Amino acid sequence: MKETQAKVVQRRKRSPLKMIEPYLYLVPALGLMLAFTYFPFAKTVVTSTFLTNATGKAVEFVGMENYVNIFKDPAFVQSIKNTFIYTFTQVPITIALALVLALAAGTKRKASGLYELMFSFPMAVSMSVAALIFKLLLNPQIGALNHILGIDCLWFNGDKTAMPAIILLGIWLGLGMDFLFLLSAVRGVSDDLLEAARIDGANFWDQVKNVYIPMISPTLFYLICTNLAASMMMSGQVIVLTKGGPNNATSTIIYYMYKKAFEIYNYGSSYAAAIIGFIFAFIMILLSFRFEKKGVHYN
Amino acid sequence: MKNKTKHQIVSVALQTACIIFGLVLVSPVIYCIFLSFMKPTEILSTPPTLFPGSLYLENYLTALKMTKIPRFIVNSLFVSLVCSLMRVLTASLAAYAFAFYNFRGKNFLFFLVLGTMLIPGDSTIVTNYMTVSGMGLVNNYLGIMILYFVSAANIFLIRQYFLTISKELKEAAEIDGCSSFKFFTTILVPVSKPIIATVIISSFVSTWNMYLWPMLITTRNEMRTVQVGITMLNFSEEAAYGSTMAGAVMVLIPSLFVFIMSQKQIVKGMTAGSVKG
Repeated sequence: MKETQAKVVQRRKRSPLKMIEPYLYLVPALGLMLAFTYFPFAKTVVTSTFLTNATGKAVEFVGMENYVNIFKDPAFVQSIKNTFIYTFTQVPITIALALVLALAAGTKRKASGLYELMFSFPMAVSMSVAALIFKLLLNPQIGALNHILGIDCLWFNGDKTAMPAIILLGIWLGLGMDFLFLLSAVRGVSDDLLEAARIDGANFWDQVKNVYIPMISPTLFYLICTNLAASMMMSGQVIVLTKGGPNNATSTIIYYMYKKAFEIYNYGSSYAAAIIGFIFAFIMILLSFRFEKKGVHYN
Repeated sequence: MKNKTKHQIVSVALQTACIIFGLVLVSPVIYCIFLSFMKPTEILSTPPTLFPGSLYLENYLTALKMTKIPRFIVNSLFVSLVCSLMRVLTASLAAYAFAFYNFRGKNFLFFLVLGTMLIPGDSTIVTNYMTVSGMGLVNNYLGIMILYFVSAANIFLIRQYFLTISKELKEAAEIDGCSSFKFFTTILVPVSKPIIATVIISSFVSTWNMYLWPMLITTRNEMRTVQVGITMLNFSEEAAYGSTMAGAVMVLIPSLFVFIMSQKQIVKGMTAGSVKG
């Protein structure tokens, strides 16, 4: 009986259509991925070592010259610095704030539905709409924020205040999603563990440190990982609001890449900047995986 | 007893604090709605007016007259709808192969799929622009959409769902003479409706909010998507602030509607991707 079954299976496997069937199902997805992710990535790496003409065609192999050139460009060095400042303030603040909100909203109460919706609300607002709102909200003369706070701040127009303003917008845009992730993680922490901690005399802070954080660490890890990589690639707000200015104060790596390609038509430099941006984002992902090994608790 | 009242007071205080902070978070959007109903003189007054004196609708009429907002919305609806349907199609087919078949190179191909998540789309956008414009797809719907026809996260998500469905179901269907493609279309997809809805909705929202690529690949005003079109509303004259905000409100309404209607599904779509599996 078993033998005949095996034979049937074998015969079925031999039919050529059956053999290639799973591959056929993968063709659309993999084809698109090869065409629009792996191919352009490889091409970007290769072309970044070439001199390019005004249409972006590779003309002459120059080795690392494009890289050397952009690192000699103070605007690029400034862009790297800005990208790091943005990433290492926006990501920790957004996640910490989202965690506080998730802990505050963790227990279901009467008004839960209302403030959960309000906390996650920024998620529904797209980057460009939010950018337009913040442009007006932070307008030095007619904006509401300066008026409410009674201050006289230039925000997007000031050398020193433009980046904090971009960061503020970034936090607002990212908060809703991080909150929703952390809320579902916080609600997933088992009551038994919390009860046990309470019996042991743990106060709220102890519970956060010893129960919540370890239990939600997989979600935290996921958020840190994706947020870091996304922030390293930030450019949209800068394109809409400041065009990298004033005085390159808000130029980021990807903004530099965009400007080199679409305003200056120096594709070689643009590709080199893209690869540097990719390397940084990749390092962020690797670093968060190191953190995962040490600090993440899966049960 | 005393403990209980203390508990209640803490609870009320906490909820009040949450609502106040929630209002602060939402306030930029409320501010935008208020401004959209203000007369230019109110907007430009110092100190700024925070509440509109009357329901001034001129801003909306100006925004509609001076820009192609309805056209932008139609463009975005079309692009997002097609992209999310294509994503579901490519992702469910690929997930079907990964979940129900054993074949040579399966692990390698699966890593190839997941590997795309490590290459941020923005870092390849210039080269993609070269490819797509070389195909003559500037100012073309296909050009706007083509980069977004597949998503590794969606493949992963649907595969996780398919893995929970018993393989015996497929064997039983095959014994009844059902070809495996027919099994996919008539049995597997219908039983996977929840996950398919999740993928469609979350893809719709994410493609609706795209900015950089549609901005690069369109130059004609009537091909712009809402997110790009709305920033072009950014008139330089100060008097146009009100109509810019009116435009922003009009663009915001569809996404708010989708968000409030399907918040649960969006969350499920996002969080399911984070579960290690």
